[in-house]
Amino acid sequence: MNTMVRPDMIFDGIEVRSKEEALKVISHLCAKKNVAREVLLFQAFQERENMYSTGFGDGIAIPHARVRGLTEPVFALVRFAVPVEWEAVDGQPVDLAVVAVTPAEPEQDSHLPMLAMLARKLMNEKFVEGLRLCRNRSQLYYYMMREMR
Amino acid sequence: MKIAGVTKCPTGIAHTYMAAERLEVTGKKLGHEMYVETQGSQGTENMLTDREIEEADYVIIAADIAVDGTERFVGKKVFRTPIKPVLRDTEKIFRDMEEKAEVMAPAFPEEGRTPVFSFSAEKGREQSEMLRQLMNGASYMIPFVVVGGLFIALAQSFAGESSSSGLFINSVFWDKVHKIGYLAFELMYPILSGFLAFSIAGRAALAPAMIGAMIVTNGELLGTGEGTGFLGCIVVGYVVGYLVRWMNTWKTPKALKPMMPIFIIPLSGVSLVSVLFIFVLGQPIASLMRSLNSLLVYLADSSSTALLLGLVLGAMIGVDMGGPINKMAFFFGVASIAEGNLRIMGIASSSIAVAPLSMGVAAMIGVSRFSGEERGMGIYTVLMGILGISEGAIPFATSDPKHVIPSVVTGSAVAGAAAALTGVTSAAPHGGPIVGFLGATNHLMLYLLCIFAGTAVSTAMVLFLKKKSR
Repeated sequence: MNTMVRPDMIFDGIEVRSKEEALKVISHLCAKKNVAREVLLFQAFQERENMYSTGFGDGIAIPHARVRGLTEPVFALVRFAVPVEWEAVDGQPVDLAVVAVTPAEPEQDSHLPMLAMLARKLMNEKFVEGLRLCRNRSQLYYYMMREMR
Repeated sequence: MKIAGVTKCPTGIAHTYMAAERLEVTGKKLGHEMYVETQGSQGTENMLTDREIEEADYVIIAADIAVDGTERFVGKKVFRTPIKPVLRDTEKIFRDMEEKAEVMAPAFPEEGRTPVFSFSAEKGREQSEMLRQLMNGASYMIPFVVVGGLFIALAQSFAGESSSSGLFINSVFWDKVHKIGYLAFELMYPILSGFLAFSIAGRAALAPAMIGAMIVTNGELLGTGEGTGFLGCIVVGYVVGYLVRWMNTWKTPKALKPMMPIFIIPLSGVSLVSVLFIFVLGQPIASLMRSLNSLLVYLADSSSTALLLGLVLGAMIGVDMGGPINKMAFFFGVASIAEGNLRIMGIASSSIAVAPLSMGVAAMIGVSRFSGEERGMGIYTVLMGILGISEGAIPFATSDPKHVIPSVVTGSAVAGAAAALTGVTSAAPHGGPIVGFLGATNHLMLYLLCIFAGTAVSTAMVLFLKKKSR
């Protein structure tokens, strides 16, 4: 995870009004000016959300996908200025998105155990509480670095 | 309680693990002992051991797509749920589980049977993994043996005539049937090797293994006079499978990658197998195969050794009802059909039906000694017995292994020994009365008699043991 959590992939105070807009913005932020990749990511996120919402409760969602032709995994933390309706399992709006996109090619699987660990961590109330207490980007960054060691 | 779980979500990178974590944490909080297997995109982790499954009171399958290996849970109380409800309210899952879990019935008994309980449990994954791969190849091969065996048996029984030069088919129609049967028999070798290798290394292994099998069963090519039979095919399957699996780990340049499965792997695989067998392995395996065959024929010929052979094979068939030991004996029979010795399969076919037939009959006549659920299964289990599906007895064995397994083993051994002594043969790699009705045995009445003897012994014994214990 230490190689996955990057300070420039943590975004705070992002303003969006709908889930769709949120996914669009997330795709944009994660694609780093590569338009083709942005379209690919947005489609993948929507496809996943259409199966059922990735909002798993307590205001957190984990939009994620496996995408073919990606050169490297994408990981990001996105916090919204105002919580967004996400059709979450508990019906609560979401203000924190933990974004994970991984290449679908099996050669690139080395980081999957990290993601699995993160997914399990998100089920831990203490971890989530701590995450919520972070007030800005650098706190979010150091918290993740410490917790995901 | 002890609870086993399996989780699997469509992408396999997040919800599989989230659900697993929830089940583990909540389960422990409620005082259960939890084992949760995750089937994610990095493969299966924390794979449930045979012991964990055997000891589990309940199995929770939390998945949005089909999970692998559900046949492991046959006979267990299984509760299925999508992932979402697990994340929404995990405690409710545990409440629903106790109310709504259903005992899983063997759905597709022919598909890759893995036993609910095995006697070699925990001997190391690698070993059972190799056995599983072999069984995968064998299960794909069986339909070919069925067609081949039945076509040849029917043609011979309707139109076969012995002449000085061997068996001769005296009708144009049956001669064609006979020849088609042989075609199916020739195909079964490549199918065995091919799907054995396929289960190890995937699609790229299919062509080299299938072609390899045709090479090693061709005595002329090998220069050994006769082929290496199924033994050689098994070796080919493993060699190609592991070779290709290793080649798949090579760091190949991107430009070469698409060439690997269609060009490089098949060519080098076939070349290597050819050289290996023509110069090194062909001769020893061919002679090993010859001596194995003559040993079996010898054992089956004298009545004292035939008795032993029948007892052992019958007991193996009965001991785990479709598990690895059963499969081993069964495969022995199938391989012998391929080599033209039908008596081994005669033993296996006769014993296969004993477990379900005797449990079904016992449940119907020994009413007070079985639970209501088991009594309801009686007729159904007998039917499975007639169709030669030994897994039908598994629910009985899981609910009372102490009394059921010894009875079934004894009965199956009796049936096997009776078949060995009377020289019953079977040309179909399957068991139960159905095989006889289809004309695949040499003597229907004797065959049914063998099954009846075994069933009677097993039924009487289980009723007696159950009564004694009450």
